[in-house]
Amino acid sequence: MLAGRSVRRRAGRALLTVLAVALAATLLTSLLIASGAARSRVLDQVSAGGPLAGIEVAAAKPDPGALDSDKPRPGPPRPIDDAALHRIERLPNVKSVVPVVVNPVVIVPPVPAVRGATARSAQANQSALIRETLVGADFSHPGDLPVSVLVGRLPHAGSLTEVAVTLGYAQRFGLDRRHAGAVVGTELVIGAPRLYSALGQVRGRWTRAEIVGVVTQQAAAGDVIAPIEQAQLARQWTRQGDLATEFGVDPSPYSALFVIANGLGHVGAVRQEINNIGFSTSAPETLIESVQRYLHVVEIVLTGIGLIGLLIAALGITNAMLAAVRERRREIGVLKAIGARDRDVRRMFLIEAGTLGFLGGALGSVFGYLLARALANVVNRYLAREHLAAVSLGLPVAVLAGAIAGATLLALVAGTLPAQRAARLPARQAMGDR
Amino acid sequence: MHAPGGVDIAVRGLSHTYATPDGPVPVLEQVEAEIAAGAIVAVTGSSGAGKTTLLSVLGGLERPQRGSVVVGGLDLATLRGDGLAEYRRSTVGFVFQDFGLLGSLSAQENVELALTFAGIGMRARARRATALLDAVGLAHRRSHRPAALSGGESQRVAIARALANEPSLVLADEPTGNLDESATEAVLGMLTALPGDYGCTVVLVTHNARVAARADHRFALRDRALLPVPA
Amino acid sequence: MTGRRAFRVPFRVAAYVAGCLVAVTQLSGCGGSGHGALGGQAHVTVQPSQTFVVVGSAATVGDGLDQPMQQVWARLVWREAFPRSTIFVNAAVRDATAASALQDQVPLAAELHPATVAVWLGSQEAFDRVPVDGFATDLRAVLERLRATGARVFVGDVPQLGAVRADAYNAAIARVAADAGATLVPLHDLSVRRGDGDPVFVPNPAGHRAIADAFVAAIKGRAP
Repeated sequence: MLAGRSVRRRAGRALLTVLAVALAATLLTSLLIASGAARSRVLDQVSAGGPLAGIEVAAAKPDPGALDSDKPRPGPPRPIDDAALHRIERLPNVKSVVPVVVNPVVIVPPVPAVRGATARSAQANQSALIRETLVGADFSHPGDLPVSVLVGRLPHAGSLTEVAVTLGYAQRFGLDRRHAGAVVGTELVIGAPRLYSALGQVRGRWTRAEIVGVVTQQAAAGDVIAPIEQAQLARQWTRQGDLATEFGVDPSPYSALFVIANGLGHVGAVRQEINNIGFSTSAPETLIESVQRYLHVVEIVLTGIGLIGLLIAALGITNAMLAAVRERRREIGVLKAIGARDRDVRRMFLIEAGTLGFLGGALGSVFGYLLARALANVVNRYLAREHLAAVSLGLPVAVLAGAIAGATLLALVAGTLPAQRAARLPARQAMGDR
Repeated sequence: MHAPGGVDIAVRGLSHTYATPDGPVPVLEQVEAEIAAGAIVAVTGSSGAGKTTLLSVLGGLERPQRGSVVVGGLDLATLRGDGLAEYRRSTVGFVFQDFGLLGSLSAQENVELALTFAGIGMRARARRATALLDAVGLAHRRSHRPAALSGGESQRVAIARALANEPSLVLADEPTGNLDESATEAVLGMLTALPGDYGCTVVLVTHNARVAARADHRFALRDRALLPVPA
Repeated sequence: MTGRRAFRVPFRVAAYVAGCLVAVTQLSGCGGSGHGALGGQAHVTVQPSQTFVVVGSAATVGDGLDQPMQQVWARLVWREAFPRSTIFVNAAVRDATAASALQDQVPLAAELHPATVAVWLGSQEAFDRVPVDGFATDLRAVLERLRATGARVFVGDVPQLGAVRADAYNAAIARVAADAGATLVPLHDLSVRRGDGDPVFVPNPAGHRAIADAFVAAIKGRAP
């Protein structure tokens, strides 16, 4: 009670002290939140938007020794069928398995040309068909896909009339990252080829689809991303022609699988298991690990800066409370005269320091969160201009709670010396200095 | 509860010296005094004569440096730290010239604060504080802060606080020094009624002869020695 | 007195802010569980689609066009007469006749279970002056087998070919179409008039446009 009243009585100084703590806590929380967001953003980038714990399984036997490398080094072909899919699904620590089907296609350049396309690229593409690869994946769980949306959205699962394209597609029309959004809403005419060697003719199975988004993806090499049904139908068409393998269509029911492990720590073990079953795997685990190490260093530095801020604030608390003790010698004396023991006085001052720290921490974590949000807004505006996916902060409760607890604890430590000095003041102070 | 008339006090050969930057300054030398239980004693003397030091030692704010001070059979020289705090809390009630009230607390809270350190529960604290403020005629001023009270009212709150832990010794340092005529009279009336009403020995320090005249016994501090003043 | 009251305000503000923070952290707990509910199983329905197949010869392949993929009549019909979900297969073979189409094109069309088939044959036979009866027999077989798949079948006749007279072939096409339950798409009036010679149809972009218009009108059930 008395501690709270004392804080209130010297509200001016208390406010300044609280603000100092708040400022430091603001710095610390905003740095931590920002670095947390940056971490997930950078790792997203490293994993091309997909889940960090993603493993690519190729329709090929493993190459001995490829396990240590991030790059795929597949051995001889081996089909991935439903049995293999289910076997991998049942492996320990496998969160999900997304089958991927790819098929070679040609696309007809759109008429009129895409808005904003450069004259040269548009002309070059008017006459010729564009060779492409259609990548089909199951969009019913977009979070499990190694795909991140830059503009627009992903196609609806099961849709036969929606596709997404990569930046590579936009670049065919001379559109850079900034203008890639111009392709969204245009129509794509896609043809799956089937060779009739007796006729000396390739017939196409043609479909039309609207481009609903521009994405980055690493499910498979290809610039047109569609729900798996589209790719399966295209593949079925092409495979029934002559020399299907010449078109790059192998007999595997699935071209690849994208396996997500239960966390980065399980990636190595799951890769090993899949290799044991007999399929080649690849994952950016080594890259992610080294990036994480660098990010960790950055976090340590940022935390250090924030902690120095808190330390300065703590010295502020010590200073303010020493001044308070000096000013309140008489009051402390009176308290002792009416029966307060040293430890009662010490406790009072510690509660006062803790209150300042808690208020500063609470205020600071709110400000810090708001500051991080404001920073994220600025960054996201920039990212949006560049047609890059936005950064999301979430509500890092642990960081906020940690900032409050840390500030309170630090204030208690900072208040120890003044509290001790107050406790040791002679009771004679009750009679005033003489 | 109390032996009627509070505690008796025996001071034997009490000497006290303050260390200053200019060397030790003796304040009390071989002070001798006997105060009977339930007596009202006034100590007079010029400024700096050692009145306040004497009161500090009697009240357990300082340990006697030399000699002995025995209050109700308790030798204060044997106490230190928490022992002294316990003595101050359970045996002594202080009344200060400037009231010594905490400005951030209301009258009621100021009285309760003394009970807090005695570890008394919240309800009991409130009851006792209310009764004491009632007794000093300030029931209607309970929730006021010291800044809103007159000098006389403040000193009455201070007396209520001094009585909170049922002391057997009340020490008053110039209790009327900051009060006007009528307030002085009211406060003096209360202090002199304490032995009868609350069973306390009262020692008051003053340089106001009129105040001193109200005491049963008077002492004067002169040349660092305590001398009885004949009635 | 007033000074003290003024000082009390920041304290209340701080307490209020602390309260808000507690509320926010509690809200975030609720938000977290709510998010989990959102991540449920999505239901996938593959939308229905129909197939449009074209049977024809060199002109239908797009021979002579600069941009066959954009300009050939079959593709124009596909884009203009059908919803976006429609699959398109151009089964046409260069130099096809009704007889060769029976071998090279009709089996593919049947395999696809098309909803709609557009047929444009006869020009080759007219140029080669193949006997009309034989052409009629082959065309009848083509149309009957296509009709047997359950598809709606649209048959175009032969446009003006200059000196070559196609009237007899067109009469046969009309008769066979009627017999097989196919819809006749009249193209025999399509021509561009040249300076001195007979009117002739030219398979340039404008010619393909005209053919496409006629088929679109027929498929959509409008008079040309």
